[in-house]
Amino acid sequence: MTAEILLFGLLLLFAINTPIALAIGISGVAAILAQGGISPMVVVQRLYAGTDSFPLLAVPLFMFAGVLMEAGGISRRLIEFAKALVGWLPGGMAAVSILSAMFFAGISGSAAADAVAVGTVLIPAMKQSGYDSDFAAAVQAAGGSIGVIIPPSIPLILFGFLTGASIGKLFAGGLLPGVLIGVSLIVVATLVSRRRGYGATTPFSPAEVWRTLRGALLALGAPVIILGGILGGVFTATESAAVAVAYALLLGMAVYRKIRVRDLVPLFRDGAITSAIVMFIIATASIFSWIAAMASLPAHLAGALLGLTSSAFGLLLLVNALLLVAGTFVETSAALILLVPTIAALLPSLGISLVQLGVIVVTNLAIGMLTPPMGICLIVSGTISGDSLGAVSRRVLPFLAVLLIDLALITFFPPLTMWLAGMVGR
Amino acid sequence: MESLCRRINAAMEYGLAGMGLLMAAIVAVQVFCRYVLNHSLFWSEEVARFLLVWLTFLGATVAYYRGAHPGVDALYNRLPASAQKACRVGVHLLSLAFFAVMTLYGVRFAYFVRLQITPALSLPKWLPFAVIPCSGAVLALHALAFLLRELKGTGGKA
Repeated sequence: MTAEILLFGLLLLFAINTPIALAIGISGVAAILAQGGISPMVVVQRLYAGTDSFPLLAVPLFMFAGVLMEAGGISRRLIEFAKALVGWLPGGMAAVSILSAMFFAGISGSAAADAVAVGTVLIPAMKQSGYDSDFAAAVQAAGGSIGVIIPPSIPLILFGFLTGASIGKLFAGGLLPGVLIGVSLIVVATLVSRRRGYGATTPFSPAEVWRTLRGALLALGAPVIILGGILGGVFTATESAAVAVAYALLLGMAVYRKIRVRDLVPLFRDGAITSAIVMFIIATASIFSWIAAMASLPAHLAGALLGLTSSAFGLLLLVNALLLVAGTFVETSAALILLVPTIAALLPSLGISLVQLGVIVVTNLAIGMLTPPMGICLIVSGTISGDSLGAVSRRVLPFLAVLLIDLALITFFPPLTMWLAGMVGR
Repeated sequence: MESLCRRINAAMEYGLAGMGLLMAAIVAVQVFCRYVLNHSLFWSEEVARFLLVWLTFLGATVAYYRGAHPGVDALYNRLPASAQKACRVGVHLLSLAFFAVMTLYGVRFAYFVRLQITPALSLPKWLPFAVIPCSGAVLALHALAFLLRELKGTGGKA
């Protein structure tokens, strides 16, 4: 009975456009009340316990770091550097926008933030250079999805929080898959551009690379501090996020002088609101997952999946399919919180490590950000370029195809993830 | 009532920015003290976690006021206007019930733990818990305003 209320209540509430956090919370409360014998005080206790966590502090802190880096003029410098590096390719601007998104992904933990930071500059620039508007938006949407795979990554933090996997290892594991995805997207963008006759932006010049590298050096220091600090065991993911905030403030206020003291209130306010949206989903989901675990829902669902196939290969395909479908309809953090308990219960039969599973899960959800109706990257890029969701989704298809190939590589070739993850100490 | 909601929300927005800054500062100072001064702080983690809880729930009220909590609108967008309105009223009513649970049981829970103190700073435990009933009440107020606006027929989207 409890399981039915949870599942059908949730679907019904989603269908009538209830905010996701509330839909999850309301169905959880309804199941607790229907079960009887449990004081509703547990609702409050779960809301509190779901958010009272040091690892989760990294969520707002990385949001602040991303907001500050962007306001501090860092995205512009990264874009200049990317332009010097890949601007000479056919469709150079498209390659620049993907490479810039990769750089920015090393600072920000969210795909939407990534698409906004780079897209607001490069989508208009691509349109000016004669690219079709919907293609420009599709390129930026695809590039933005790298934001959650290259560390830092809020979905990877959530996966670590939900399963107990080391966030440092998850970050290390996401690095090479993120680079693979970025490079493969650049290849597709170049092929499409060559067919459509989009030209190069600038000829390649080592002097220009050197000049822009000097300009971007301090900006590129941020990912080095974040990754180096975590991989080297100097600090935790949360602490590295706070150091990144301090570094971004220093650059933006003292070095580049783009952020004034009175800008701080709106910047921190906006970062706090975006974080609270994610954190509120986590809070209400901890009501839901508590009562779901009481009813053994994840174990039953995992059992049902095991009943379909028992081979590790088949299960991995099944998990990927499940995540792709869920990522298409549900917002990323909600999909993680609802599905990870079930998927983690399958781990012994999958024959891979928890860290690799985390990177697979997040890659799937990143692809989900590129598929309508709940494709946050499509929505953000389409809003910037002024194109409809439908138009951008059609142009994103070639990128989706190569992302599926990348996903297969990440799923069936463990060293891609585990080589670096294995180097994270202890 | 609308102006009350607006004023509460404006205060919340300032509070959020302040808590965000403070949170980043505390964790950064924690790293600084450990590595540079070689003297770890015993209270920083606890305070930062409390701030996170406060930021989550107060931020949720601001996001709710702005209509920024994402939903799944695939089906909803295909409904006729009258059915959409019925959906909105239904959602507001259910949300109001959820916020009532947060407020009423939040007060009871804070009272329930009134004698407990926190491990590092010996603060009363009801202090961090109090954010749940407080934000529950603010959320309920916003939901009521949305509902009234919807029923009066002047409602936009919320």
